[in-house]
This record gives sequence, structure tokens and C-alpha cells, in this order.
Amino acid sequence: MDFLYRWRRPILAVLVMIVLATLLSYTAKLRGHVLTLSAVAGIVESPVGGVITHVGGGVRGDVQSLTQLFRLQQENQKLKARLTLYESLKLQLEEVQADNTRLRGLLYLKSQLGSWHLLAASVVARNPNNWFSTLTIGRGSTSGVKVNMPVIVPQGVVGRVVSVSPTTAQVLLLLDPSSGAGALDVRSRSAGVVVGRDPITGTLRFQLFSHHPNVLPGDAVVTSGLSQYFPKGLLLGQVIRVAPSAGGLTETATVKPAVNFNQLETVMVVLSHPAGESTPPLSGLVP
Amino acid sequence: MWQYRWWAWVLVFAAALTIQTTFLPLVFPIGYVPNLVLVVVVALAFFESPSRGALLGAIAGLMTDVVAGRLIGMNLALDAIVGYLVAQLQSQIIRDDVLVPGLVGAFAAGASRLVEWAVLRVLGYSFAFRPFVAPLPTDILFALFMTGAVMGLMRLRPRHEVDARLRF
Repeated sequence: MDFLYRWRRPILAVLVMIVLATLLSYTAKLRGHVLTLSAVAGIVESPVGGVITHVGGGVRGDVQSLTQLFRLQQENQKLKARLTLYESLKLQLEEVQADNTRLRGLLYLKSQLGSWHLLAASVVARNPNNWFSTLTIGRGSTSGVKVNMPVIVPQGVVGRVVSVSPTTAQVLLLLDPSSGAGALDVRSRSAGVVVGRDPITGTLRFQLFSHHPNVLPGDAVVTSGLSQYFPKGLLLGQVIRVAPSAGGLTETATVKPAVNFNQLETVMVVLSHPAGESTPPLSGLVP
Repeated sequence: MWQYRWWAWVLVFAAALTIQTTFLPLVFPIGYVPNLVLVVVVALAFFESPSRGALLGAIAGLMTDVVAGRLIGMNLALDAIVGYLVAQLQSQIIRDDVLVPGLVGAFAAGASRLVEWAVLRVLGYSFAFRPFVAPLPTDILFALFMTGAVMGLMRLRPRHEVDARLRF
């Protein structure tokens, strides 16, 4: 027994080699049977392998998806940051574009009214009282501004100067109930007076003089030049409605002002203009 | 304490008027600009006696009238009445720092607009009802939220608290 125990490893190795040699020589002759056995083993192994492959593929796919998700998240954050940047750039661009359009309009107005002496002025404040529509401009008597000078923008008439200090001036807007301007319907040549109503309705009242004025919605209304404040031909607005006046003798038209009084930033004070000269309606002058 | 000095009122009202005539018109459309000066009057009057409330209201109203350049006396009278009534009311109610001032400010804004509309009609300005009604929600909501905020921003304190702090 001691002999066997001492030589157990060499004996085991010899036995294994004998078994292997026998198996090799036997299976070398019975190839078909071995292949069948292999096929049977394959039948058992393939679903298990398939499941393992499937699970492995799934895990690999999940890992890939997670990596991709992480990458996409980072990419998304970068894109969001860039989008914010572009949004702010777009806003800046829009503001610059709006300023550009406004200033181009004023320049064009100045070039169109070549013989007119215009002074650009910034709007610095509004009236604290909502019922009245006046605004303060940053030019006063030192710049040559005087009371009753008309104030215009490329879109049309804004109002007229009602008081002046050395550095500022108060402009009474057309919307104010105290304002008034001699007006003319461009199509029918019917004359009348345009007066303000209130800033909320934002429309003007065109009180016509003649009995059958033939004024229609859509007609352009310009200054007639008959009032002492405004020269002839400046656009006031467009007729949106015509109705008989209270007494029924004449008609009253509702006029939508050509100027958007909420968006006034820079205006032009008409310092002087050639007497009697008529200018075309200002709307559409902006290139 | 600055909030009880007349010169401080003038400075505060000047600042409020500047904001009302320059900044608020950029935010609110023409005709809908809320009355910040009235809100400041209400906020200050909450810590005053009725006579001083009327005085600070009169100062605010006079400054508004001078800047507006029309109907001098209308805002003076209205703001003085508002200052008086708010000061009278504050001595008789328990108030917090936000809700009650907001409600009082909102009521003052609505009521003063109604009185303005009526006074203007009496004076011959035939404003329709719509110009009165349309800006009311803006006026009321602005005063509702801003009265408490103005009190907080200006760190207004009741007189007895200020006196107690000065004693220590």
C-alpha cells in the first residue's frame, strides 16, 4: 500500500494516458457515433448558449446604451448652453435690427424732407397721469425747440410741443383729448378736425365739416395745413369707421393713428419747414 | 428715522415719480401705467398719524401734479385724502406686513381712479367708461403686490419700534 501511495501520481498519469490512448484509438474508428454524440450535446448546449449569448448581448447593449446616454446627456447640456447663447445673440441682433430700422427711418425721413429743418430727440419720460398723453423729449430751447413745433416720426404725426425748458420739452400727443389737428381725407379731399380721445381706446376722432363727406374705411387722413400747428400732408392715420355725428348733420370718422405711441424712442421736431409746401404722406417712406 | 422726515418723503416721491415716468412706461402700455406714487403714499401712511398722512399725501400729489403739468390740485387732493384715510385706518386695525397693506393699497388704487374719472368728467373731459375700467385690474394688482413690497424694500418700521431701538 505504501508503494501505491508513494507512486500514486505517476500511476495516475500512466492510467490517464492509457485511457486517453484507448479513447483516441477507439473513437478514431467510430467517427460517426462520436459526431452524433456531439450533435446531441449541441442540441442541449445551443439553447443554453443562445440564452447566455442573448443575455450577454443584452448586457453589452445596456452598457452601450448607458454609455451612450451619458454621452448624450453631456452633449445635451453642451447644446443647451449653446442654444442659450444663440438665443441671447438673437435677442441682441433683433434689438440692433430694430434700432437700425428706426434710425434708418429717421435718416430717410430727413433726406426726403430735405428743405425741412428737423431735430432728432429722444423720449425721456411720460406723463405720470394716465388720463393725459404727453411725453418729455431730451431737447429744449437751447437746441432751438419752441412751443407749438410739430413732432413727427417716419410713420406720421406724433403731436406738438406744448412747453419747453432749456434741456427738455413736453410734447402733447395726438391721443390726448386736448390735442387737435386740421385734417384731410386723402381720397375724397373732405376736411375736418382730428382730435384725441384717450390713450386706452388709442383712436382719434375725425370730425368732418361737410354734410356728405364721402369718407370710407381705409382712407388715409393727413394734416390739412389749415391749423396753425401742423404743415400740410403729414400722415395722421387711417379711417376705420364712419358714423353720423350726434346731431346727424355731419359725420364723424374713427381714425387709427399711424404712429404706435407705445414704441416711441426717438422723434423728430420740425424746427422749420418751407411755407405752403406740401409733403407726401409720410407712411411708407421707410425703405 | 428717515421715514418720518418730510425731506425724505420728497426724495422717495421723486424716485417713485422717476420710475413711474421712465421705467414703468417701458413695461406697461400707454394708459395702463400703474400709480407707483400712490402705492408709496399708502406704504408711508401706514406708519403715520392722520394729519401727517394727509401731509405726505399732499406732498406726493403736488409733485405728481407739477410733473404732469395739468389740473394742478387733483392729485394733491386725492393723495392727501388717501394718506389721511390710510393713516386713520391703520390705527384701528391689526395688520401684517403684506396682505393688509396690499389690500388697502389695491382699494386705494381702484377708488382713486374712480374719483379721478368722476372729477375729470365734472371738469368737462368726456372720458368714456372703458378708459376707466380697462386699466383697473392692472392698477389693483400692481398695488396689491407692490404695497407690501415697497414697505419691505424701504424697511418701514412703526414709530414705537424705532423709539425702542433708539433707547437701547
